[in-house]
Amino acid sequence: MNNRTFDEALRRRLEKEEFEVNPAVEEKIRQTMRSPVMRRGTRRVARRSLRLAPVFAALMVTAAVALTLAQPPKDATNGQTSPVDQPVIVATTGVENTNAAFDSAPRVHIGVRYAGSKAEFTAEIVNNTQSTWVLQWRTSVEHHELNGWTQAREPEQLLWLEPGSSCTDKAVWLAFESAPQTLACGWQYTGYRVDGGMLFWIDGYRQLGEEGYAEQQMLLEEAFDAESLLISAGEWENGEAGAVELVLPERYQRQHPGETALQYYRGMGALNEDSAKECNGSGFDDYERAVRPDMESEPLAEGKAECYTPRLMTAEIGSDYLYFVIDSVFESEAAFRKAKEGYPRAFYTVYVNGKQDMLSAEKAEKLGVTVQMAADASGYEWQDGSGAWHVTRCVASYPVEEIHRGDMITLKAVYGEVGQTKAVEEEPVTYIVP
Amino acid sequence: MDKENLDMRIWELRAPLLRVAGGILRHTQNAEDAVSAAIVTAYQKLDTLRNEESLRPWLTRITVRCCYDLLKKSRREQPSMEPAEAEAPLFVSDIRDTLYSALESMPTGMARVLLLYYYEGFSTVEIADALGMSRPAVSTRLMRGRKKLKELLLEEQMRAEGVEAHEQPNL
Repeated sequence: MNNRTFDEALRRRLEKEEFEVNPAVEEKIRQTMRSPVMRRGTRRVARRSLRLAPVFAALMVTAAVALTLAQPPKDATNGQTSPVDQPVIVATTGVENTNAAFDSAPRVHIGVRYAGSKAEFTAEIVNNTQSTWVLQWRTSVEHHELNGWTQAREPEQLLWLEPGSSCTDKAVWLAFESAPQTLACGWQYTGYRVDGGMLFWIDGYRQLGEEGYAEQQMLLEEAFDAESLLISAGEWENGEAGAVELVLPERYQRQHPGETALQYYRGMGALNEDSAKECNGSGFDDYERAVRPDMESEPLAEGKAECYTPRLMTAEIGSDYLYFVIDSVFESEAAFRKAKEGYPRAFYTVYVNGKQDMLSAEKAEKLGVTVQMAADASGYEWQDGSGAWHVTRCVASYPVEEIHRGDMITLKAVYGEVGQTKAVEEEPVTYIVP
Repeated sequence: MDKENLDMRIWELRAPLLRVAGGILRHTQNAEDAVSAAIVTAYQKLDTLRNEESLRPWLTRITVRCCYDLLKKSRREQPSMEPAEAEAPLFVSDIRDTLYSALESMPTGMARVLLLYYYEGFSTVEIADALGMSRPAVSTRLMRGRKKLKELLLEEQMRAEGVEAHEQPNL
């Protein structure tokens, strides 16, 4: 049974499933719908957490007054310097909230708690834009009586923010000697919108001498030559942002010592500095929960986004196959040709206005592609819980001229042992040519 | 769509929305809270709904977002997301043989993708958008989840029929 047949059969079965809601739960839903506060169009979120809203509001007013009376904030790249009386909470900075469904830049709420001899900064970052961003933030402490402070914990150097993702990061400063009563805390952040193609993998950076080093470098160079952004990252939970490292192939590093990956990619245009604007700010209460003055959560995405990201191409290793997305809205033909040249062995999936589309015969002809539709994708090696290494490849052999609209195409995801040619297991992956 | 009409439609969708929230949060009280928050948001953002026919996916996405808000908040506050003792179930009907029940035994990341794909009919692109994942990651989880589901259904069929395994589950 192929996947399509399985899905259809399962959905037919699910239509017969019945879910009778617990009357107690139904009553709560009914109460929510009848709420007069809600009917007025004001927010009364039923979550227990916002019962403390008046307390948060009072804190916000206090923080705002404190900031107004204090020296004006020093403008930096989206940064502020604010005096902090020990041990109060100070306001934060972030992008201006708009009524649009999506933000124009990630929201960054940075707050600081100063208690004892420790100043702890917390950055809460939410990407409610339709783009992927990388973001870095920095902190500082200043005081005329300051003899010595050390940064005990630095912020992550670069945070990767897929659309809809969020994360919390911290930075900590410790006083060497007696802590002053007041402390000026400064912070700034810069967001870079990712506009170029990217090669993204999660299985680590191989060092010289390690197995797979040469293959990885070869892949990096191929992607680099195709002007893709090279990103190495650890794993993190879905919906959460995480720290990443921008990578340059070693060959390029040797030729251009001293140039950082960030500098290179900014110069190339793959990363565009598009820093967030200042906003009213928000505060952190004693329990470090972030709130905003209007007590609203971030705007929700609604409707279907026709163009998901402005990226021309993404690639991911770390899934079961090398995977490309080419959004046809953005100069897809040129992007596709470039990708095809950069990754001649890859399996391609083309997106047209957000819809998945295999490389059909007509499209192949239009794009001037004469090779087989999906040839042999690069293998992906992975380690199971027992430490054994495996390899996964995705293969198919459909000549372009035999592919027609409506055809069902089955690829084989082949799982095997590293170094072995015989497949241990095969998994069909089926697509329909639209 | 006026608010009276929205009342009726939301009431009709209460079970699917609770199923989504329950599948993501796996906690009755929090699922109730997430759906309540989603309903409030839906009323407030009703003017942003462009097409009445897309109410269900729109409301589902809002619910997913509210669930993630709740998860993020619970991580900050670090309360236990473990089900409370003798917690009342979301559903009183027998769900033992449903896909929803099967999903409860799967890893949360995989279960969320399968929930939206099979119950809500979301495409992989829509799931990626709703869950904040990359599309390849959704495809991978879907592929693995489908494989797992086939195994589960085959086991279920074997138990029901008391026979040896067939090559494919009979749905």
